[in-house]
Amino acid sequence: MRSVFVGAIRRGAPAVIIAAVAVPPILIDGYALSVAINVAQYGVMATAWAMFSGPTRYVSLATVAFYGVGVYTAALLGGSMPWAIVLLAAALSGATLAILAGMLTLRLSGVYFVIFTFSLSELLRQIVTWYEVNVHRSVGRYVFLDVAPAHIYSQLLGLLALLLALAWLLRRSRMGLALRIIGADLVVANHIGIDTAKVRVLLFAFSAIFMSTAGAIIAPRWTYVDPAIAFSQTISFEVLIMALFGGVQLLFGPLIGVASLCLVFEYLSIQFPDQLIAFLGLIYLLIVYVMPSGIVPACSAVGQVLALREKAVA
Amino acid sequence: MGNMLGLCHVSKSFGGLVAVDNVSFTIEEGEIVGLLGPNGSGKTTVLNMISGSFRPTSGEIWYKATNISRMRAHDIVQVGIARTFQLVRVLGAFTCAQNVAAALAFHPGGAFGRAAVERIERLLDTVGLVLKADALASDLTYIDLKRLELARALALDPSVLLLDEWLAGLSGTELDDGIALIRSLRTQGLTILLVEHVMRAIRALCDRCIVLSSAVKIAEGATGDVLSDPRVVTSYLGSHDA
Repeated sequence: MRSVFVGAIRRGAPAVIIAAVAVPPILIDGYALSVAINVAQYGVMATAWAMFSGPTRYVSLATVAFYGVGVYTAALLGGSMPWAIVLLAAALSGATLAILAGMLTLRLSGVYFVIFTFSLSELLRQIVTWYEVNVHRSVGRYVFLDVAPAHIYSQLLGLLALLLALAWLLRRSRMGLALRIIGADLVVANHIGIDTAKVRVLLFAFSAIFMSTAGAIIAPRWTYVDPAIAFSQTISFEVLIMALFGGVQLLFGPLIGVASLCLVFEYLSIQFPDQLIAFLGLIYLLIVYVMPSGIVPACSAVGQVLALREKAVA
Repeated sequence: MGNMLGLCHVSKSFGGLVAVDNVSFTIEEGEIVGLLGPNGSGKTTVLNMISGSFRPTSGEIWYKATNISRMRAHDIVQVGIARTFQLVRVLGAFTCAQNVAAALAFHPGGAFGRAAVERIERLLDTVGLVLKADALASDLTYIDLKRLELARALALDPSVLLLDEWLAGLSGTELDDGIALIRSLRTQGLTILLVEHVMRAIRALCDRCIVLSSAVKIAEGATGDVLSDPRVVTSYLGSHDA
């Protein structure tokens, strides 16, 4: 029963993705398009987050650090460089930052890694603020880039498709196995010949590339950015909660989490802007206490119980 | 016959505590050597340094002609040294076959995916776990966990095997099986260093023994001689007038 349930979702989710890509973005406009862009953006970040943090169980709150770096790369270079170069520069900046941060945190584990990644985002926000105030002479800046929302949406979908394909390959590769072993027992991983430090840094950088590229793609949508917007810690927490809500063990789990929570967060941030973080906390508690492996495995567990009951009644 | 493993004036201290103090010994190819001593005498620390979990504070560790003192654990595995752990460590959420597959996947002589299937089966067969290939490691009994850990170490294709109390907790026929298994590994060309307390196993297996007491080497030699050495008896049982 369980395998049937999970199997159905595994088969169903790609169909949904393909359908979403197949709908030409020109056909949807206005509010629907802005929601779709949001889903695609968080879809990229949550899938990228789960690719590293899922198997290794290193919970990262640096998502917004990489995202913000991408946003600022586009804001700084967007006006003067071809768009492809801007995206490449964003990807490279994210990777470089992740490799530096990764090398600094090799000996950290558990909560220390969480705190470091949280601080990294805050540090970058302070550095960018300092730069903007002292060099650019204004905290905020305008991003006048003529990119249509439909075009932003297609780019994000393309990035998401690429990420899912690579994540799918990764799960079948030796590298994917190495990550799962690292998550299960770091000592065993070292003693069966895995260079755990290298694997962790590489995968951290690999996931960061997608976060910073997403940031660069979305930047033209904002017209105005300042460090408090681009490096808002809420984004890191939202990504983490969406990924965990869907379930990080399944390839499409984080995407399912994003699809279900994006609208909820949208509603909450409009209706209760000051209480949003409290709601995030509540959802987090719900995940930890009720469905630690995410909603998909939780649903299949419920399905199993119902099936057993049916059998018992019959 | 040549030296497989050599420790040269090796010391390890943790803060002010000296866990291993100026210990030297060599092990020749094909030998089974016992590393003995009371609890806390530094035996596991010696294994941890050889396998790369810790670096020695001073002194050198040689594998054949390679100085491995500053190498990290994953490189030492590639060189040809594998170990088991005193407190058994297996990947609980993986099946037995997956545990062995994990060890086969990351060294040059290994295999991954379909190429590994046959070798996994052979390794599980060696340790007597072939019928439990698809059982989760977390569901295994204690003896089976030990077998699995050995299969994983053997999957690394080592020439030196470090066994940390691998026979502890086994009794009767289990112990006989275990002793026979280790003996069969020697005939396949492995050199083995084992930390052990089970006297029957030590007498049955070890050509030579090295005894540590309070971080220092106090005896070394043929098993029978070492076990009757008054200093060794004293270190285990206390002196007559104490």
